[in-house]
Amino acid sequence: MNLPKHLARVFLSLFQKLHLGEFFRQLEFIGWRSLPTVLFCVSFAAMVTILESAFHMKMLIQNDALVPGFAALLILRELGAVIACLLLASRVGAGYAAEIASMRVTEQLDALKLLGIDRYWYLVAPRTWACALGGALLSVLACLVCLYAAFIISQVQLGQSSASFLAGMHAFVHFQDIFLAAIKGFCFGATIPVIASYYGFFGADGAEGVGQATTKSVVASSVTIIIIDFVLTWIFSHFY
Amino acid sequence: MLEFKSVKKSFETKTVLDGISFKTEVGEILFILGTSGTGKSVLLKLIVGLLNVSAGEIWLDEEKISDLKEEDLFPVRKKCGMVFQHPALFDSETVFGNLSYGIRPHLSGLSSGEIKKKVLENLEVVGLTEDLLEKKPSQLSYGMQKRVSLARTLCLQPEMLLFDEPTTGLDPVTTEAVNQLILNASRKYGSTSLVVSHDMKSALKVADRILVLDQGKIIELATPKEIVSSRVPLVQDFLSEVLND
Amino acid sequence: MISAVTGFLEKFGEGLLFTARILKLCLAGKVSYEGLFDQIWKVFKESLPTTMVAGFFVGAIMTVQFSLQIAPFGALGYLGGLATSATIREVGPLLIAFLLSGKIGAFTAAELGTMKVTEQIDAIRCLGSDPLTEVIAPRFMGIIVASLFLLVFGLILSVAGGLLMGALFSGINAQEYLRHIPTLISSLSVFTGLIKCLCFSFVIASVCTYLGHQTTGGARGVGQSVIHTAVFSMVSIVVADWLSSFILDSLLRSAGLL
Repeated sequence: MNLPKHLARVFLSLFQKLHLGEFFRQLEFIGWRSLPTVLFCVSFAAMVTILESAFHMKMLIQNDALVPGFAALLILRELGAVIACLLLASRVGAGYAAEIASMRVTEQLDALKLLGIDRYWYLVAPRTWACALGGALLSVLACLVCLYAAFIISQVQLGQSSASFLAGMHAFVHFQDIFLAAIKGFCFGATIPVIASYYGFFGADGAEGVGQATTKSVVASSVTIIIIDFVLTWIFSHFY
Repeated sequence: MLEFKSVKKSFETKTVLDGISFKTEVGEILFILGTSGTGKSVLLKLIVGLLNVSAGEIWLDEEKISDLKEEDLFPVRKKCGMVFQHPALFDSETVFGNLSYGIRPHLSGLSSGEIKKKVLENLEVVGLTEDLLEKKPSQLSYGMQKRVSLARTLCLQPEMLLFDEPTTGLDPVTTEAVNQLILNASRKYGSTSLVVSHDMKSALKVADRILVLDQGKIIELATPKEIVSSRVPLVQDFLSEVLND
Repeated sequence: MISAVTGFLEKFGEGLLFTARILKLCLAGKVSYEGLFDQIWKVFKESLPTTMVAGFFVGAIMTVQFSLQIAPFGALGYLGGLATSATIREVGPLLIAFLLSGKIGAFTAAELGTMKVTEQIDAIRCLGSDPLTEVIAPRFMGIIVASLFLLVFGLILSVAGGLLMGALFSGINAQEYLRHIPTLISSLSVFTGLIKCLCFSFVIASVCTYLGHQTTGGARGVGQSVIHTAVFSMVSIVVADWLSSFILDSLLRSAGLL
């Protein structure tokens, strides 16, 4: 089966009555259990952003007072959502691809078919909704944690006061930025199970097949997220 | 030749071999039987040092081999050629590359002409032809892969052959073919063969002696003739399956 | 919970020891050279298209974001220099690392894992060779060397992406975009970028070879190794990124170069 057909079937399954049990289970896995890892990574990324922004600001205008504002913007618009979702692509995407590929190799997918259960309705739709929602939530949380980490490091490393950070942020950041970050997270998150299930459903057999499905899924998700990010950034730039 | 002296092997909490002692006789085919998970494969891996003993000693030709370090194990691995359960062929090499892997110039000091000669000889022993040499393992059937795997080990010219479940999961026709291969390989170099298996039928046909393991201990060690009248319950279970065919 | 942490630390320690052993082999030149060149080429060939595509789009994204922020300051002339500088120092190595960890890291873990569960690794030992020298070290070094080449290509493509967006979005032509690149990029920046790239590829190489080598449990085990590799690589890269930024920044500050 080729990609367009797969995408069409996924799309259709999304509007059928949702399997709520599966949906909540996946949401817990994606949202709750990925939370520590995502927040951990995102904090470090935030700190690096501050350091790098400071470096470039100093270079350009010999002044790093505006760093908090700029960095906050960059974090909200890009970093929070992208890093959170790239991590999801690794953890959740790889997990789904491996799980589904294993199910295929051990004939569980055939068993589903014989029981009259549509694998797209059962496996893909709940995960897609859960990942989209989870992606949005994690992106927002990531942004908030990022901002906090940036706050800390601008005091520690750059010696700025808390007041100036908050002032800088206030000048540059608007509520809509968080909202747009959530939208990004939603879109990125949605692509992960779609891609993972594609490679899980259609692939080679055996141990090799499972490994391949997992690998291709991670790479394809990552690149797709970057491309969608580009598209969304361009669209959103008209709202800033 | 090969002697196990009160060998024990444990993993974390599980004791897989519990005081195993036996000696092999030169040139014999010894089958090691037992139900799944009784540590039969572990026994073979201990000989070639892929695993280390928890207690006890293993001796080969008057030399203690159970405490050798990795660097010193190659002579042992040459003497005791291991044939794995999976063909374990290297996917990125051709059949020739696989067969000559253990006797490459820097390992054996042989010339490329001598290497080719050995490869062809052993290919013949396992009943395969020269036209396979340039193929890749993925292009061969499973049965052929198993034969190539055996030929690869034979190229080392081992004095002892260790077979890890050679017929597990194979159909009766292929099983028979493999049994024949085991006989040929042993006779070719006069090697001693240890065959780990849970196939009593093949054992009765091929083995000179049969050793039965249960719960990490040896519960029977006898020739096929003697074993059919064994009084040990588990052995009788094994036999009843075969004799009722 | 405690046992999970100690279990993790144990594995981490084992991983470090494993990496140390490979390093020792590499430094002693005990790597199978044929295998090494094979691997470098393979990694490069496999990752190049993805790197170029990603590089292009990331360059484009950064140009858009940066131009939005500096346009109010009338500093658009510096757009090219700024975007490129950020790419060389930070985004380039990070991006390459993320992509590599997925494509090559996960792939190598899967490959080595499959070799392990089909007893090929044991077979190598029984045939008189050392799996570390024959199979693992070449892959390890292959990843590190190839990543440097990939960085160069990724960079070129991100400049291309940036150029395009500079023209389409910010109305800056190619000349203007490229003009301040030499101004804003010092050899120190290039050095920083290279060090980061090496650090990250080192992390990826260690994680995937160790986890692949340790695989047990058949097909399912291979899948597990791949997942752990993907996640742990990413987390390690992010931490390594911060560590290297922090250390380099502190060093340069105290040396008065900042």
